[in-house]
Amino acid sequence: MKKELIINGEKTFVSSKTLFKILEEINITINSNIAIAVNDKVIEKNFWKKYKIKSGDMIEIVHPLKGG
Amino acid sequence: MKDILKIANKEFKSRLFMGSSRYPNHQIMLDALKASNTEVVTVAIRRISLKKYNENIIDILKKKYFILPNTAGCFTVKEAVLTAELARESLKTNFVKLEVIGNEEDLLPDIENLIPAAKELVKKKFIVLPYCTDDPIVCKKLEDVGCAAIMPLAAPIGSGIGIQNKNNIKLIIEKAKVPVIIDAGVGTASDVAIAMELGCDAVLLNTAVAEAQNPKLMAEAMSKAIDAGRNAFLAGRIPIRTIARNSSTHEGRINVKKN
Repeated sequence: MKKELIINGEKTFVSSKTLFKILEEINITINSNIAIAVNDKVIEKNFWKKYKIKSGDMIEIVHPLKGG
Repeated sequence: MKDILKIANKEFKSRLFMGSSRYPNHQIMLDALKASNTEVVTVAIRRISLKKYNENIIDILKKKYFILPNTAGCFTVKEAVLTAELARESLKTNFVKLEVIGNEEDLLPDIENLIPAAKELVKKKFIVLPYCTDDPIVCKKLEDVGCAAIMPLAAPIGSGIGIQNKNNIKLIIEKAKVPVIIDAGVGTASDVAIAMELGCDAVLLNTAVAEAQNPKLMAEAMSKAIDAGRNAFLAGRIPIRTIARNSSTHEGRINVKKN
C-alpha cells in the first residue's frame, strides 16, 4: 500500500520504505548539497539508507540557493 | 600591514561580504564577486524543485569562497533553527547568518524572536552572525548570548540609502567586543566607506552591486571603498571643528602700501 507523505509542501504518494529509496522513487538527483528534515528533524546523509519513512511524515528537501 | 578580520576561529583578509542574489546572470555574478575581492559569499536555503531541473551554482562558489548560509525568510525561532541545521548539514559549516524577520514588507529583524534563536543556535555550537537592528542594547544582548559577530542594518534590505543612524552605529562599535558588520541598506561606495570610517569591521552587501548598471565596476568600487574607509579609520581622522584654522602660517606674510 502506498504511503501518503508531504514532501516540500506537496501531498505525495510513495511505495518505498526508506528515505533513500523514496528520493529515487520521486526522481531526486542526489548531490552533496542536499539536506533533508523529516518532521522538523535533520536526517544526516549517512542515515538516509536506513531511515524508515511512515505515512503522514513531513519531509523537507532543501539545498543552498542564491541569497543575500 | 597585516589587517586581519577574525570571526570565531576563522580569519579573513577581505572585509567585504557579498550576497549572491539578484544578479542578471551567473557569469555577471562571478565576475562581480571576483572584482570585489570578497572571500565570503552568502546563500539562502530553499526547497529543491520536485518537478524541474535544479540549478547548481553552489559547487562553483564553494571552490572559490567561504560560503555563509543565511536563514532569510524565517519568521519564528523554530523555522530559523531548523533552517540553520539544514544549512549545516548541506554545507558542512557551523557559520550562519541568522535572520528572523517580522514581516515580508519591510524585512526588519524581529528582536523578540531573534535573541532566543541566537541563544539556541549558540547552544547547538553554531557560529552565529545575527542580522539585527541598529540598536546598541539589542547588539549587546546578542553578543551576551554568544554571537560571534553582530550585523546591524545600515537601512532596510535593498533600500540603498546607506547608514541612517551613524550615532547608533558608533555606540554599537564602542561597546562591542565582537566584530561589527554592517548588513543591508548600502547603495554605493561612499556608504561603505562611511561604515568603515566609523570603525565597522566589515560590510555585507548584495543589491547595491547586483543591480548596479555595471555590477563588476560597482564591485571594484565597493572593494576600494572598504580599503579607503578602513585605512581612514586606522589612520585616525582629525577632530571635527566648527571654525576655520589656517593651514599656511601667518608668520612672514608680506605687507603692501596703504592707499
